[in-house]
Amino acid sequence: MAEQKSIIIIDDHPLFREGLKTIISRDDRFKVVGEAGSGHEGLEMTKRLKPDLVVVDISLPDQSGIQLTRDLRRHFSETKILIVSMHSKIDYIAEAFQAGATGYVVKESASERLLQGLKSVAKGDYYLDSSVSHAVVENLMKSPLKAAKITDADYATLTPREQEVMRFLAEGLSSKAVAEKLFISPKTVENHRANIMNKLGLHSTIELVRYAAKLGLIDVDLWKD
Amino acid sequence: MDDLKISSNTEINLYRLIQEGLWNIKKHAEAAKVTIKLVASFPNIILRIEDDGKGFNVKERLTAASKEKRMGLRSMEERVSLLDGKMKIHSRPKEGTKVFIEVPYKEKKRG
Repeated sequence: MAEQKSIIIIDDHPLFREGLKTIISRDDRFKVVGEAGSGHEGLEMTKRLKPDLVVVDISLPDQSGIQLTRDLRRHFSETKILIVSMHSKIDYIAEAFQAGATGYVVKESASERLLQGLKSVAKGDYYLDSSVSHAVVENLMKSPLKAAKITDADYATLTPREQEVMRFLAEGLSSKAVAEKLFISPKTVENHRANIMNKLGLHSTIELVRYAAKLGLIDVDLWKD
Repeated sequence: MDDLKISSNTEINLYRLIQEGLWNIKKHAEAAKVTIKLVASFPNIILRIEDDGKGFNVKERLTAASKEKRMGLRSMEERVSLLDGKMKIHSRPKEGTKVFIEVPYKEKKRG
C-alpha cells in the first residue's frame, strides 16, 4: 500500500470536524493526524506535524481561511490546501485559489466530494466542487476577454528583417522604397512581404496597416506631427 | 518581446520611462484609462504610453517647463536621448495624450 497522506483539519465547529474525520476515515490512503479550531492553532499544528494536506474552513473565529491559506502557502510550500466552505459564491472561490489553495469543496456536498477532492489535491491537481463549477464557468463566460494582450504570438514569429520590412510597408512605403532603405532588392522585399502576410494571416496592405496600428507599430496621429 | 536580448541599461531605462510616464498621468491627466504598448520593431523597441485624460498643449507646456525647471517630460526626453532614441508627444486639450518612444535595443558597434 502506498504511504498514507497525513491531514490536518482546521475548523471551529467540533461537530463538523467530526463529520469530516468520519468521511476521511473511509479511505485508508488518508489519515487525520490533527485537528485545530482556529487559524492560529492550525498554523502552529502545521508547523509541528508537517502534514501532506490541510483542510481549511473558509471562516474561522480568529482569521479568514483565505488569510490562513496565504500564510500556510508561504511557510509550507509543500503542504496542499483544500478549502471547505459554506459559500458557493464565485468571489470566495477565486480568492481561495489565488491565495494558494488547490481544492475547493462546498460544505453541503462534502460527504460525496471531500474524498474526491483530497485525492486530486494530493496528486497535485486542482479540484473544484462540481456543484459550483457551473457558476464558475458562467462567470468566466460573462467576463470580457482581457484587454491586455501580453504578447502577440504571430508577430513574435517574424524575423528581425521581416519586422523592419513590415514597419516600412505599414508606413506606406513601396517595395522599391523599402528595398532602397534596406539595401536589398525589390524582389527580396516582395518575398519578405509574402512571408509576413502569411505568418500574420493577412491578405491585403490595408489589413497589414490595421494590424500594425493595433500592435502599436504605427500611429496615424503621430505621423502628422 | 520575450526572447529579445536587451541590454540591462536599456531595460532599466524603459522601466523608468514607463514609471515616469504613469506618474505624469496620475499627477496631471485625470485619465480613466491608460494603455501601454511595448513592441519590438527591429532594430528598435517602441514604447507607447497613451491616456484618455485632459491633454495639454505640448508646445506651450514644454516651453513653460524649461523655464520653470520642471522635470516630468524633460527627464523622460533626457533618458530617451541617452539611449539614442527619440520621443514624440501628441496631445491636445481634452483629447488625451500619446507618448511615443523609440529606442534601439541592439548595442551599437563602436569604433
